[in-house]
Amino acid sequence: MKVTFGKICSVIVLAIVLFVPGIVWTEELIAPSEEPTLVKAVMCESIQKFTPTNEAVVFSIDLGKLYSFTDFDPVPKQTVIYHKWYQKGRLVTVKRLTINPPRWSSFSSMQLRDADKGPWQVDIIDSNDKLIKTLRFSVTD
Amino acid sequence: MDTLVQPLVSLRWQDIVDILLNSYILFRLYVLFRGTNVIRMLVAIGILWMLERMAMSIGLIVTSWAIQGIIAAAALIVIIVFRNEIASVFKARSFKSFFWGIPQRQILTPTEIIVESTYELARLGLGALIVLPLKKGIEEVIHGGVLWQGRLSQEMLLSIFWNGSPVHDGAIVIQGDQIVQVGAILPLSKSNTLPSHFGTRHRAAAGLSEQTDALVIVVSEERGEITVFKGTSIINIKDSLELDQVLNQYTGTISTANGARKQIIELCLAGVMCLFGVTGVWYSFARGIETFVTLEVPVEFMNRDPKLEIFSASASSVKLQISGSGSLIRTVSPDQVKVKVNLANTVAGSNQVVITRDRIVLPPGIQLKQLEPQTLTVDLDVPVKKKLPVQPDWVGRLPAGIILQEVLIAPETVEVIGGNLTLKDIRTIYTEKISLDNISTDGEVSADLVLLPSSLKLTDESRKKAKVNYKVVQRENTADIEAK
Repeated sequence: MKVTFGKICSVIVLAIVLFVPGIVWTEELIAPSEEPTLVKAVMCESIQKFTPTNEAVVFSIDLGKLYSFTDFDPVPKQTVIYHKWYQKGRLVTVKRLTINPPRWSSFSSMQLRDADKGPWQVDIIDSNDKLIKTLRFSVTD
Repeated sequence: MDTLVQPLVSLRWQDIVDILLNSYILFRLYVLFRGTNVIRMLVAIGILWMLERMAMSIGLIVTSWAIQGIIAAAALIVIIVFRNEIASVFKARSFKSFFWGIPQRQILTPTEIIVESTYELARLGLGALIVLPLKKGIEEVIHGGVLWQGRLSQEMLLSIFWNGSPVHDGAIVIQGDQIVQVGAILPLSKSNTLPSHFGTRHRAAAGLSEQTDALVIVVSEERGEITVFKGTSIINIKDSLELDQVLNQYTGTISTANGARKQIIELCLAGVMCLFGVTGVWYSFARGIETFVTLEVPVEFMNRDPKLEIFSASASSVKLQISGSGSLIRTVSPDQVKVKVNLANTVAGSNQVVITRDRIVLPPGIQLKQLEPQTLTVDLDVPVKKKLPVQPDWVGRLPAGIILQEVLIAPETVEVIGGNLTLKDIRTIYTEKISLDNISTDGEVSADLVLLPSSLKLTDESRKKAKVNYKVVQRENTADIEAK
């Protein structure tokens, strides 16, 4: 009888050891992400009514200003994202943008000067400093 | 006066050793070859060489070339024509005698034994043929015979030419105090001027003396007469004193103090001439008119940390201004000059390396005057691979009313190799500049990738070109951009 009780105890302990981490892992998988989901990221000439207009990859310096537009859906909780603007690999500016649940569009802009001609990129980074997307474009005559 | 004294004052110890060593070599060559025709030819070649230098210095180019050709031919002729003399000089000497001692011509030949033996042979009515070679080899002229290598003595000579001896009919060859060969067969003379009473023995002696510089003594079996053959001359010996005199004259035996003194004076004079000659040649080469020349020499980097690679250097070659006599400078070729840069103390990144004079290898007699640059900037780094995105570099102006909306580039990424520090700050590889001016519809353009800095390399060189596929749309309101 004593042997049988010991066996039962062993089986229970083994079940707990195998089952509990499984539950935890499964919960992690099915738990909704805390990070916002990027659904659209474009460079554009202007923003009208929270919508990017004239999306492009080449912009004339004559425009004077251009925009980096990002749309997140869903946004689980209030967080920040960053738009890092690079000209020919050199960091020019970092724009910090706050986004709010449940859905949020935000944009950053760059005032163009004559010396700004050349290839550019905007890195969209989340609050954990993880690169979400890179937008590449050029500023020309 | 200063121009004569100044070079002597500025002599280095190496220069003195250089002159003395070469003077001694020249003196030894004289000692080995004196009395031969070779030395006369060498003197003639030396005079030709001086003429060639003079012709060159005054600008007689064709004359100089011609003399050079004659010298080359003469050197060849000396070796071919005097090969026997040269060979006999080297064969007759011991190794030590090349460097030390004064070899004397046949000084060990005991002429008195030859004289006494010759007269004894004549008295006994025994015929004899004795050959005393000088400098020219006789090996190719005589045939047969038996190698002997016996010390010369009267008894031995008598026993060789005794009628019962198996070798009494041939000739014997005496070198120094040794009988080196017996029973040798000599070439017969074809001369018609020989006296009619001369037999085969005399004709053989005449034949050898005509073809070589050897002296041949003949003892007539019938008449008991002694005849000496030397060159084309035939000397009928009247008495032993005359034979002794002829032999001494021929072998150069030093029998008197006067002769020894004469030899010492001759050698001293030769030594002084060698010293002056070599000094003159040395000055003409090493201390001629100082000439400056600038050479551009590639830099050799040494002692680099094996983990690091050189990605760039501010210069791959340096300019050296060197000086020396015109003769030496003309012979300097770029591969004789080396500039070695020590990278032992360098680290990853940019390093300032000084080129020290002790790291510059120059041929002897050449001095370094100037060095430019004296410092190099060398970028060393650990080589790494990195995958980088490719982006087109657009330039120019799009036609009004067109928007370049989308671009697809292939390959999207490339793998490059470069220095760790360099690649750290590189985020993108750009194409060469692509003009927008003629774009009006969708299309595709091919463009080279631009790797900057130039130390970057693609792991796959076949991906050096990118295909850029672009899509254009018409602008909805052209006025927008114009208004802005």
